[in-house]
Amino acid sequence: MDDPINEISFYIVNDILKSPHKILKPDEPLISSGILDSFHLVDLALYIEDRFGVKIEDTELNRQTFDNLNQLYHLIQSKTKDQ
Amino acid sequence: MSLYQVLLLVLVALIAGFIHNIQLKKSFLIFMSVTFYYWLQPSSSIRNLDFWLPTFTLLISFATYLGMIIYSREKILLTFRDFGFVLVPTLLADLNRYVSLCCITPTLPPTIERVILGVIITLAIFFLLYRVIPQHYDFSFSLFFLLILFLFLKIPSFTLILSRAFHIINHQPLQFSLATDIQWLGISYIILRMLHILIDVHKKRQPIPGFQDYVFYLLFFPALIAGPIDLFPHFVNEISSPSPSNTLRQEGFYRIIIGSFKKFVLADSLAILALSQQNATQISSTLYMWLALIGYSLRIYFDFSGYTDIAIGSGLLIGVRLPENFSAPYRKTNLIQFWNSWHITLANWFRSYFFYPFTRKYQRTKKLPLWLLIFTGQVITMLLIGFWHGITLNFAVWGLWHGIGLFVNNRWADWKRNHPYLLKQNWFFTSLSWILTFSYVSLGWIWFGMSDLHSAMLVFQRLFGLAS
Repeated sequence: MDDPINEISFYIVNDILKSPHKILKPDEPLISSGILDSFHLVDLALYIEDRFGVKIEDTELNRQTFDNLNQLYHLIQSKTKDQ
Repeated sequence: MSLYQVLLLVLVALIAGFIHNIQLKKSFLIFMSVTFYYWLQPSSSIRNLDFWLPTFTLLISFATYLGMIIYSREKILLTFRDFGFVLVPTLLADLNRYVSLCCITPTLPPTIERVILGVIITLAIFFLLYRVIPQHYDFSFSLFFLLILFLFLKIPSFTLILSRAFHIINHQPLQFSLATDIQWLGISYIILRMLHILIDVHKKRQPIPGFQDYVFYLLFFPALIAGPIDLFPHFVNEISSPSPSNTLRQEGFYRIIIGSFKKFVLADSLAILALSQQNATQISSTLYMWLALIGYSLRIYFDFSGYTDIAIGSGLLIGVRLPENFSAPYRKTNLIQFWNSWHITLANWFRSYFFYPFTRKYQRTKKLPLWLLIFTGQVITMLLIGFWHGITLNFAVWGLWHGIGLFVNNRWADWKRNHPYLLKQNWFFTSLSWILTFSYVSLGWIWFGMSDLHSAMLVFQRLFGLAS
């Protein structure tokens, strides 16, 4: 996995938000701040599943499980370890 | 819930927080949660119903748990011992009939013979059903049973049938039966929690929990009446943590004080002004109707978020951090953000178990055009949230109102993203967005707060000066 935070950040700003100039900080809230809505989360989950080969559960798509890139990265990492 | 009840709950939470042995703390809290469940259950004109409804909840918990175990072919010996432990408060509540030491149930409980008979008959029915139904359908049966129960409690004409059945069983006159006789405390939340565990166990997202943990999660007293709806893995993790620090206790007390102020001072004062079924037909002035509507919007927020603050604060005294349910919803400048900050745990539940699976399936296969997928996903989710409050036309319209609002908001946000230079964010645009969002949500409360469409339409006419 080479710098997944950058990869995910790139996907979010380019493909989801369509704002290539936007810079997402690793600890910037994504869900609670309203940057990502529920449809974006579905896109993001599908992207992560395809790209990193891990399953993101429907119950994990909320701010309790992850709200920023750092937390999302740790979630992917913990799932990769379990496999 | 009265201030006196809040004080007692807080006191028990505080005591629990000082118990350092985790198993002892859990046992104490399970005992107190079940006891509080009997104590808080409202009285009814149906004889002994205030005793039977909490007892049925325990029996249904046991039955659904048994369904999970049979389905997974696991040993059940331990479960009966746990079930016996959970029923101790039931027996104590019932024995009060004979000793009258205290008043756990609002009215005199039934005789012990009737309780034992009732428990045995209900369990026998479930056992019989589990024997008749093929093993691999046990999970579907539990889901089906909970769904039917939900329909009977949420469709007023079905609830009336249930009320009549209870009147017949009790030999009480049928002509006095009403749907409102059946007020089953917290059952809407308990059913969602049961479904969460049943579905997750079925999908192998989590193992079958212990029965005591299962009941503890369903009936955890700070969140019993109106949530928040925690997720089971998070809850178990929290309850297994050590006693709260002094900082956590301070935070807990702060939340309880803030919550009590919101609920008992602000919400109760606003009740004088707020729109209600009674004053909706009496207010003739447009201005006063707008004030009543704003009053209603604020009242429902202070009441509900105040209750949530008390629940979260009590949880903190125990050492359990329940999830937040509100995040300044009326300060949001669009409907999407509003629904990310209003009754958060309920919205998350419906997203997790309907919206995400539905959207994911069609998004992957690209069978539906994107706009149609967004429309159906949002509208059905909001309709389901509406029906969770009650299966009536008014809640259906309220759900549609928000579903369509979210769809329009989504399309508008998408258009704005594609035309970033056309609309610059400034104070005027932000203020306008806030006014629009607050007005849309407030107007939506009319469908929610009125008991029928005619009254709701009358309020709309008065607000816009259309009534004669």
